[in-house]
Amino acid sequence: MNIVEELKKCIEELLNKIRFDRNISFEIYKEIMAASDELLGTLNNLEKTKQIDEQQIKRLYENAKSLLQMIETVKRMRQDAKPSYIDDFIPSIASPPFTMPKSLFEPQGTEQIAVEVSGRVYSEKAELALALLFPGSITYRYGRTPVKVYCGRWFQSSRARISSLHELDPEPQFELREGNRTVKVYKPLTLRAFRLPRPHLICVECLSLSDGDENCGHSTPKIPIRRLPSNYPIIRKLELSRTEEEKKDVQMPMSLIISEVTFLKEIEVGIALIGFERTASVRGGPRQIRVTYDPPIGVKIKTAGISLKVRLNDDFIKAVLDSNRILRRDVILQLLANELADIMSDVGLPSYYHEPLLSAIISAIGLDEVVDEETVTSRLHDSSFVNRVIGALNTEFMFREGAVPDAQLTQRVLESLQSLTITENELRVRLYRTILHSLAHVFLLATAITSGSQLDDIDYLVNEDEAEIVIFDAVSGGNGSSKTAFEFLSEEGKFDVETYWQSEEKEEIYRPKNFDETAFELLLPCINSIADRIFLFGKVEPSENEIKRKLKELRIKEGTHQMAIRRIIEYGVSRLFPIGIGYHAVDYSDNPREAERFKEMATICLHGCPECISIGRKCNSGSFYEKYNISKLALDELINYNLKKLTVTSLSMDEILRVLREYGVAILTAPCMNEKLREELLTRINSLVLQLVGREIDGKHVKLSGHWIGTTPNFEGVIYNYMFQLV
Amino acid sequence: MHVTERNISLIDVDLLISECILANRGKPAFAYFISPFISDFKIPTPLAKFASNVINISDIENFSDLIILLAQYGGKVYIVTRSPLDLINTTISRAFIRKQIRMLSKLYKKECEIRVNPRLHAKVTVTSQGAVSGSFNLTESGRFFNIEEGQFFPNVAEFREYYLQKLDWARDLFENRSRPLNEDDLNVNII
Repeated sequence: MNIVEELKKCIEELLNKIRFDRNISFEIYKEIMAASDELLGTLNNLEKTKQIDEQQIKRLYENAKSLLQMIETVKRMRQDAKPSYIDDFIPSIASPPFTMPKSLFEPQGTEQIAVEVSGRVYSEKAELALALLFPGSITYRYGRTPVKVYCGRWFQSSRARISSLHELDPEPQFELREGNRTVKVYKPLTLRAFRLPRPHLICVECLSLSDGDENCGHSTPKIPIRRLPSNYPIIRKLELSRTEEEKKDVQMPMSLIISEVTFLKEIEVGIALIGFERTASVRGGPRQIRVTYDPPIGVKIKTAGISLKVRLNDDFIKAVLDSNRILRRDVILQLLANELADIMSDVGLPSYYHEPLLSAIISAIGLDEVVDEETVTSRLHDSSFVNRVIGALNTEFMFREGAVPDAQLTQRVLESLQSLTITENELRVRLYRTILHSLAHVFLLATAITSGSQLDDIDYLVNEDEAEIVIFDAVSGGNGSSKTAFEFLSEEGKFDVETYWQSEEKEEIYRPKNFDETAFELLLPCINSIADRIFLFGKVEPSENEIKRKLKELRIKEGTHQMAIRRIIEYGVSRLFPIGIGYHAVDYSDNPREAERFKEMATICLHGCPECISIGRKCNSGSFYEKYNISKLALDELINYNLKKLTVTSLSMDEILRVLREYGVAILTAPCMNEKLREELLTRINSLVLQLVGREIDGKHVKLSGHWIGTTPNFEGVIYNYMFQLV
Repeated sequence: MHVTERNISLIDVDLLISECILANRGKPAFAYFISPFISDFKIPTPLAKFASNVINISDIENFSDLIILLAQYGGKVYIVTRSPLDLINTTISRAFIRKQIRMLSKLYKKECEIRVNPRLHAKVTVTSQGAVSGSFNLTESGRFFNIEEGQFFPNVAEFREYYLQKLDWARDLFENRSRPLNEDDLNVNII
């Protein structure tokens, strides 16, 4: 207790005594009461003054910090440059969101980083520097010749030690949990870069450039390349603090998945660059590697965002794992893939061996088949496991450039993996994470579509403990994307002709696509996947133009990919995800082109196809490991589970009306397994739709608010879906 | 089904969406719009809300967009109305005639078949899925503001007889009793 509160307590005690003391005259009592009131008032004022002082001190501190930033900016500028107050200093001293970019082509942001290119210093916004000018990246930003940011050698462990190459802030910005370790993240003050010499030679093994910076020690040949490799940063994000504002609910049917949405007026996010991915075309085929930084670099940004709480209960996770054995096997595979990545990182085996090693493991323990976790665990624990994987790895490298990984390191990785025991609980946790992560991709895409922003303008965080997904503006000060998505979250209020006429709604310039509408559309079965599945396994061909067009494209491939297609049909639906990893399912070793064709066809959509929920390098796991962290199949299960109570499977008007009355939404679902009966089925559905449209129920009207097609669980038939809503 | 100003716009929109679904399926899809007065109006957001993986209703803002979308999916759009050239000699407000010209020009450019009849007073919408007839013009007032009344005959067994009557009548009006709209009808000098 502070002294003011103690004094107040004493006064209160004294007053209590006086109130009950009959010896004190009324005049004196009045005098004492007046004096105590005055004293209490003074004490209250004193407290207020103290608070004001604290706020002032805080403000002065912030100002001093901004001025310090400005001094740093000035220090970094060249002597002959003419600094502009608006361009160069306002971003440093103004508080967000009042920071202004120089032009439409300039990024926003308040934090500055100096980039020194062969002696010349450029000042760049931190967000831009972290996105484009990270160690190992190549840019054409500073003239016609390519400039590379120093990265150093990494070939032995895929770990680049960058602290001696760049000037980092001695004080860490924040701490980050990466795997089992906590790492400190440092802000780069100056990033150093150099003009890349010609010719551009690259190592086929580890994709290091022979440029005097990376030069690896591999004995494999260094080959000249025409196109420089593409580099993408691997970014980790961490929420540091938040200020919540308004809350909103979404409407059915998305309210079955999203329980609450909150606008975050301010959210402080730590952005750390833990490494980068490099992709290069080497001898005709694409190759990818993943390099980690030691230490990670990053900055803190204050921005705006939206928090979406997801309804994801244990009952659903348990039910779906029990009922869908293909998904269960896929989850086991994802778990193994992530475990393998962690072990490889700990042991120091380069990440470009991840896919071949995982492919060999799949082959060795028979993960192409639909197997359960007990079988996988027992096969992992089998004494012959390591030898079988090494044998399969040698076969795998018949199709690959470069040498097999270091024998000793491989042995260590596989031995560590052997200690893994996959339990039901681990599978549930993995599936929970996969669904949350997949939903985060969906919400990120929905935010981009609703707000009209690019994927680079926004970003996401997943809070697994709270089943929460946070979408935020990817720039300090914010750019309005999340605010727009929040404003157009859902269509509120019912439609009514009289209220519509009087409302301001009709004055709107355009009809925005609502966030929940967009997210729901993204969760619907993807057209590409339907076409792929029907092409390979379907017996009923839908007549929808979109699908017919895709099927036509696939049929063109039939001429060249005949063998690959036949093999994939032989393998069957259940094996599609594992056979797409590596070359273990390829057995025509004498024809590498056929092997590539098979690989191309094996990645058809069953499991998060590129065009629906994949976001590539924007994925928090990086494009390298994205497919082991998301699943469209799991999202399909989530949507089926949640829509179950809204679904009517019989062509019964009474049943549709009952569901409509109860939930306000009803979905008529009709599978078609026989092409001859399709017309009859669709005519009956149409007739039902027409009899429902416009009907009045409890003061509202029935509206046709959705139509989509899907595939039956074994992909042989087509499911027609019609959604009705009361408006 | 009884139709009033409360549900006419909803039935209109849903009929056109159903027609788009059919057209996307490669089936013959068409829509007859018969109304002496035609002007564009914004579709209220709850009515335009639609989720699909086969047809794209996302960019729909005005009723004309929905008609154009149907035409883009391969559906046939037939319109019978009164020519702005005739309307100029009536007491109809100049502002409205301008609106009618704007709407007709937009649809004319998108290859909708438009015909005119100076004696037209009927208001009917017929698609392959159903027919709506009543007092409502294809205008914002007719669809939302005025007190209106009419009937909806879905193309189902129960109402097929009435539906076919409307369809035959609409066809006859379009093909035999109206003349095609030409550029002169749209180049009206309004002071």
